[in-house]
Amino acid sequence: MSNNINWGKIYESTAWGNTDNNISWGSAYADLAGGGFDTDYQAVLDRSTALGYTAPSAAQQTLQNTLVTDLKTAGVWDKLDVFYVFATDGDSDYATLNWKAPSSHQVTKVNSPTFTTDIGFRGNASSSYLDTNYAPSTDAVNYQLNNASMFMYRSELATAGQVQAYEGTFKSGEGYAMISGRPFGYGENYLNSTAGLANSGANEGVGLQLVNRPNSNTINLYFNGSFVSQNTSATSTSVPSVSVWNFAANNGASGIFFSNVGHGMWGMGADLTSEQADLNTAIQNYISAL
Amino acid sequence: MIVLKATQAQYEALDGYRNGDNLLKFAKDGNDNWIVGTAVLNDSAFAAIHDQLNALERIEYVPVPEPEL
Repeated sequence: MSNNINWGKIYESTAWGNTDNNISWGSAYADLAGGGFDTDYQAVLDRSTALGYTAPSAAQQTLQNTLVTDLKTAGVWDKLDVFYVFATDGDSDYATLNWKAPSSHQVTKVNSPTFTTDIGFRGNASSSYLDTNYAPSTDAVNYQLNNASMFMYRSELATAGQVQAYEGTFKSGEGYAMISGRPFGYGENYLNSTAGLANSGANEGVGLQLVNRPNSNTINLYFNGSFVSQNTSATSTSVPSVSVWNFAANNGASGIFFSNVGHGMWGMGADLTSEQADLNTAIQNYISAL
Repeated sequence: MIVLKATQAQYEALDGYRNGDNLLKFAKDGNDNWIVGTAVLNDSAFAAIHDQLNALERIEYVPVPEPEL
């Protein structure tokens, strides 16, 4: 399809039935799919259709498309390996899709985590979790040993289970990728290291918790777009070899740190220290519009 | 919190059951039992094995000791 928009022909003619008014919208907006959506978001909808899932309402599709375009404008999208939007009015199957690559790393719902429309998934503090099927050592593209990020939109606080509410990976003998949903006094955040960065009261509550590794020694923590703290002695050791879990940590066996924390989103990729404010704005805009 | 406890034979029969993007995978409790939460009993994804899940023993959940970090 050519970029053949003959604006002059349109404006010089008042005869709208004239067949010379040849507008080719699809190719003029190169990033837009046939329905007017960004091609990457349209790929999510197409995958949902192919699998027989229930897609979100038309109104929410518009919001989700805006979320994708906002992340692209912010420079976040290209840095992600996986990105899940659990907070949706599509069905719980639709919520398992990896927006960054809809045909890979789809979440597996293990032992029936609770799904609530427009809120997301929640653990049960004993056995249920989401398996991203994304193992950084074999699957990562942008997530690297000394350049990595992991974030969650915590939609529901942990009220039961392991007090730290750790999630991610916790396999002996390698670096952990673990984020803690339990604030203040408990819990640390890890990226490719066995040395962590403690939570504080500043990252308590519902919101976007982002952990970055910008270099071999540093981990920093942001919450709802604000810097919380950093550890400049968290030396990286290795990238996790097991898949990343939500609501528990994958220890290479039957799991550890089960809690009933709830998530509206989850993502992993390259360091997002420079983009964190715009990431937060894009996600908060989406969540607040639900 | 009540959970479902599997014997070794029940574990071997049910663990790894998959229906689409849903998976049954037993976890360990603090007494080294294979357990799963009761929500699986109401999950239509596991309808085909509900009878077997209903046969699991109901026990009070014992938390796993937290490892040192």
